[in-house]
Amino acid sequence: MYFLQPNQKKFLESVNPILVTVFFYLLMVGRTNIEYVFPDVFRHWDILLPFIVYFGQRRSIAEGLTLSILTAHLYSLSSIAPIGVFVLHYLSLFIIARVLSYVIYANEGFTILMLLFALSLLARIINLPIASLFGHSWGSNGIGAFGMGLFLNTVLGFFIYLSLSLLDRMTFKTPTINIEMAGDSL
Amino acid sequence: MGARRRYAFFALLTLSICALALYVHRHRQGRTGFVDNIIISGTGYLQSQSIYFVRGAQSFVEKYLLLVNTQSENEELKKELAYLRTKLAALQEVETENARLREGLRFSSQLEQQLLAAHVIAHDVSSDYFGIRVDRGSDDGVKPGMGVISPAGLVGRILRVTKNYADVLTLVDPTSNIDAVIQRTRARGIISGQAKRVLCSLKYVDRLEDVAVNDTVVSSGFGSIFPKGLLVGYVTDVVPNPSGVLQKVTVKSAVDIYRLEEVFIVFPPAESEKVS
Repeated sequence: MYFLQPNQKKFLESVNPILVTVFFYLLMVGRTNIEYVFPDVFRHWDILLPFIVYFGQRRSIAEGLTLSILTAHLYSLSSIAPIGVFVLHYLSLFIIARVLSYVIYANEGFTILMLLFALSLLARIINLPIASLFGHSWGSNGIGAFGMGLFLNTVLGFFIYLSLSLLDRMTFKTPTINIEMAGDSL
Repeated sequence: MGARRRYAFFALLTLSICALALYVHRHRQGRTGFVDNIIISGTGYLQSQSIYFVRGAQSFVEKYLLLVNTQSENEELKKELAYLRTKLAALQEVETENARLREGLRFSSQLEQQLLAAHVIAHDVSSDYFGIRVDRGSDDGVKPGMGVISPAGLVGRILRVTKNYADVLTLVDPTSNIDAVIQRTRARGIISGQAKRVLCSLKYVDRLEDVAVNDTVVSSGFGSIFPKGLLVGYVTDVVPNPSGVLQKVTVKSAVDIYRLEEVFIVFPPAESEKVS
């Protein structure tokens, strides 16, 4: 890929947000079908979470916000939830991930796993007040959401996070890095 | 932070909150716009195509791959066997689908209301909501609020409709409320989901009503959304409340939404006349 001309690299970089959205969209379609094969295993897997964490860590505020709203809206259209619940939920997570990006730069296995685990836990907690804003009194459905859900969100989320990182490299996308110390680890 | 920047920040914050409120208001009660409908139709098409692939792969794994390790015959025979098994699996799939549809046809002829058969093409993407998507839409006369049933029992209600696809709010979703009665004693209540795979609650049952474990719960038929007497589930737990007004009744749904492949959309009597 390094033989490409600068204008070709620039083009690839400009289509990166579209490729990320398409990647999410295809995963989402697969996610809606997977329960036929594994009804109990993947039910608590939150497919959008690693994307939002990635946008918070590696995108500018404007681009991250746009991508978060767009993907959350696409997510809403594949759910019977009132439209707005997920946009608000993932927008809140994006802001948290963005704030955390000034403290932690998730670039290595352990930091990515920890960040995904922490935000997955937080997602289950903030789900309750957000769902109640829309007149729903539940949010996190039982221990399965905390047990298997946290595990899947961390482990599968890790692979999605790495895939996004790879996609950035392939499209010559320069990630936004907020933390000053990150320069040393790169 | 200077005064100007502070004002700008608050102006932006106010604008964002207003935009979010407008967005939520515009989409209230599952309403979708033109672009949303195009997205849903595109997604529905992809889901309906991928579900056949998923079902085929599942059938192949169950009927062939799990057995192949036990055989140690020569490779040519294995390949031939694999081919035949794949064909057989596909034929069995057609056979079972035919049996289900025959059962559905028999079931349909027993009811007064007009039914429309539909395939389940996807489940809800979120773990907190229990919806399914079916391959019938406004082009087939489907409207929000119509009942959805299966030969095994009650499934839910249509929530959102696009041209070719419809989203169903199933009875196990906590936002679903369906009028039901205990078949034995005619005690009435509202079936509402518990955000669990097959468990629901029968709410607002008077503590003086006679309800016992294993009692059958059926639809009341009020509102003509569902046929009267349609199986909803079975009582699995009753917690009497001596000091309160109501008792807590848990019901196991007769339908497992994750095993559903075909459903029937119920047309209300007035719509049934138009359809027939």
